[in-house]
Amino acid sequence: MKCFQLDQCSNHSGFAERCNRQALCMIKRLPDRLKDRDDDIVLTDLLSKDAPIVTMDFTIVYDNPAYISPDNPGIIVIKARPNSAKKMEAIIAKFKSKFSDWNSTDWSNIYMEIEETEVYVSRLIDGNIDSGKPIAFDGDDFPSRLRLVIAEMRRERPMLSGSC
Amino acid sequence: MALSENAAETVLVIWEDDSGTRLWAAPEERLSAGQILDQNEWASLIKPLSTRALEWYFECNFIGYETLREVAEINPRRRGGVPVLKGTRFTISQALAELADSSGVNEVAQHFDIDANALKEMLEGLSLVLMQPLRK
Repeated sequence: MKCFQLDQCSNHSGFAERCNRQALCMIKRLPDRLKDRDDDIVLTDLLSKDAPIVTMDFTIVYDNPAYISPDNPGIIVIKARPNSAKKMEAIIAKFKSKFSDWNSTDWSNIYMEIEETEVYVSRLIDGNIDSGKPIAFDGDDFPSRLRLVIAEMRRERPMLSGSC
Repeated sequence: MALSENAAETVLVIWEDDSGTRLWAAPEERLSAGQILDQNEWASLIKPLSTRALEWYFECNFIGYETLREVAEINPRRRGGVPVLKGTRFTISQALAELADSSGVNEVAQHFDIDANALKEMLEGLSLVLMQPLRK
């Protein structure tokens, strides 16, 4: 089963429980040993694992380019406004409804921002995430466009497995 | 009259008038620390409030900032320098958003495993900081 790792800002116990109850993926809450630690320590630890990080910290890559390892499980940033877990959960639910492959996709070395109406996808091999592509939710071909963009990025670089 | 040394940070001003009374007041315009104003300039910058009202506003403002200093911090190594609850990686911004989306402090504290008292003090500090007249 696909695993996803929460950061401290997304570490809402209720959200994790609801996701895990659906049994479509496994949500890992932030380990206590990483709670309240500096960004570099948290990133170095989590990026050495297999589960993509789900966070609302939309500057996490920009602020810590030196700690983005070249082989990583991927980072998914939820751009919620306001930045509450409830809003984050609503945006994730919308994305999941638009992209049924969310829990079978290999997100390794992928950086994705999810907003209300679109996603932004980039390769994540260092701190440079500015050469990605936005893909709007509207239109029936959203899943195929997202799959295509990820496949193109994957061709440029082999990815990790990303399973639990 | 001169702004206090910390004026750029705290927006607090010391006014010494003829009778030697010292008042805390905030200018309607942002001034530079150390900037010297004559009485007419100064009078044009503050709202026409009573001495007691000004003292009350700035006492609350001062306590508010002190409270926030106790409970919040800015650390470039945590959340890239976005203000966080002291000792945590939990931003003040998110704390406010979570409070707006919840039934209260205890619920947020429980779900995110953070100190409820820190959240309460943060709200008290913000409340006091905002308790002053501001320019439209």
